[in-house]
Amino acid sequence: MDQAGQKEKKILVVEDERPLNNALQAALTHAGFTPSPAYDGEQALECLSKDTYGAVLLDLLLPKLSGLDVMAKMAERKDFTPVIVITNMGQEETKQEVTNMGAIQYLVKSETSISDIIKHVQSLVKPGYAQNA
Amino acid sequence: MHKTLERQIKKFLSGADVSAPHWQDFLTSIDQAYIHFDEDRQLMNRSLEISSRELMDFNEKIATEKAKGDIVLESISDALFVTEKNATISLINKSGEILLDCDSDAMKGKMFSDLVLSINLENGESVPPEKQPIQMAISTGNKVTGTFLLVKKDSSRFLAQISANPYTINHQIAGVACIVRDVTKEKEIDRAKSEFVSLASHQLRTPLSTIGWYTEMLLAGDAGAINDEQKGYLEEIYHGNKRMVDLVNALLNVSRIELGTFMLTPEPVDFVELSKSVIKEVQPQIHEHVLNFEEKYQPNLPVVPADGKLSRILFQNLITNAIKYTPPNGKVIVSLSTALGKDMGHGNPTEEYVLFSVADTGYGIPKKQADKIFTKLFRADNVREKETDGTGLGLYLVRSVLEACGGEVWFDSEENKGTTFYVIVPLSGMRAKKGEKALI
Repeated sequence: MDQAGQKEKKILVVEDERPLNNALQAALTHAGFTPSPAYDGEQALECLSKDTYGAVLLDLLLPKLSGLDVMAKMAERKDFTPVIVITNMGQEETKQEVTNMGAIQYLVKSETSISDIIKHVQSLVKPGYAQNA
Repeated sequence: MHKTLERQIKKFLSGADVSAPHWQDFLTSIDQAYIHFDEDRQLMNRSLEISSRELMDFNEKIATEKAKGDIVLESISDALFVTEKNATISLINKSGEILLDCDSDAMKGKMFSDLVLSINLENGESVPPEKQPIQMAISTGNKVTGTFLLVKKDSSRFLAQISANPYTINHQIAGVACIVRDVTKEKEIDRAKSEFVSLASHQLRTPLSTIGWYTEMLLAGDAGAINDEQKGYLEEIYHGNKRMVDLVNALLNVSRIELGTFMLTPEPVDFVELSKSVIKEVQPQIHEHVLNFEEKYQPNLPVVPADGKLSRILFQNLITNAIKYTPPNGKVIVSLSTALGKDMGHGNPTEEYVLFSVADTGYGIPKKQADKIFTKLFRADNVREKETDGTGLGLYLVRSVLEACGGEVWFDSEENKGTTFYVIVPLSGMRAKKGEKALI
């Protein structure tokens, strides 16, 4: 596995609800990814500054720094890691806002099965890397 | 009378023979005239007596009615302004004085628009006097109601529900009775209630996601192999959770409808494609209920400017209801066509509509409960026991959405024979509605 492949495999899971974060990590691991958890916005930015990831699963309502703030900071830093927003605020306007900020996907947690979330991650990272992991 | 007259005539015309027949005739006729005159006088006296008694009664009645009117005016908590035909105020009750912090005498002769500034709640602009309820009621002759933000002279403001009702004298509009109610508190309570539901629903979604995801992983065997019995139990949990998610979504939608915050954004929608996609989603339920499902679409049905999400809610609700409330081996027919209002007896007679109908051979709606079927949280008695899976919010949402967009919904039903629901949306499109939040 080359360096790029390792990077693609790493997924940052930013979710303050531990049971949900754990579930996402478990499902990602099962699908061959290497998930790292972050439980608030600041921790997410810290992880992003220290490491590179294939994708970020980002909740919006987070302690310390909101998901939108995290995305704004990422844009400031010119960090183009693909972001999939996972939230329970099923609002068209929020969806529009995060899409304008560059989010690749906007998923409502209670409406989306965990297998669908994994499929979205798989479609983001280059095919082959995760599967070959 | 006769003898007196005789004496008087003899004295006046000495030598006159008053016993002569022509004198007797004359005297008798005079006598008769006197008798008639007396009768008339008595009659007049009596009628005068009656009139004066009636007048007194009438005066008393007026005084009683006035006292009643005064106490009613003073007792009602809503402000009342009565105007003349030129919209100038001629009467104000105590609540009116309190509401506008202004003495009754200072308000008389002025127009309501001189006393407060009315702001349109939708665009935040001030409403010109001729567009305010009092003037509108005078110019149209109809009752005009509306809710406005009123700004008083001291710049304080309140939300007011205004109802202006014209009154007529001799079939001519003589002025308006205008009731103004401060609804600031009611709206705040209503808002707080709906916001609470909205917040609670958002919070409920997190644990529901947890239950859904973990059950899904267990079912997928992520935590090891499971046996058939375990699988069956987990599936029950998964479906129960899905129902709860649907209920929370319905509650959120209701709170958005009641807050007035839901938006309606028309864009070209192909109803046939939409119907097909909803039916595809519910194939498992159709299969499970062993139903004969038929789709009838008018060829080349025009694309309609409609809100895609809301249209999907309409289609989903009516189609899933038909599936839920039709016993096995029954039939459901979904159809889409265009129709004129006058041919359906619904909508505007001359307007053309897209007609979406869902007919089933299901349990039907009991006649005595037909008028309640679109009310919130209502579920008909005959389906409560047969089908527990229902929120009682679906048809309420359908009607609320259609009322907001210029459409209509109605149904024909016979118990144990079946029901057909009809939905019409103007071919010209759904009316746009600005709002903060989309429905889910």
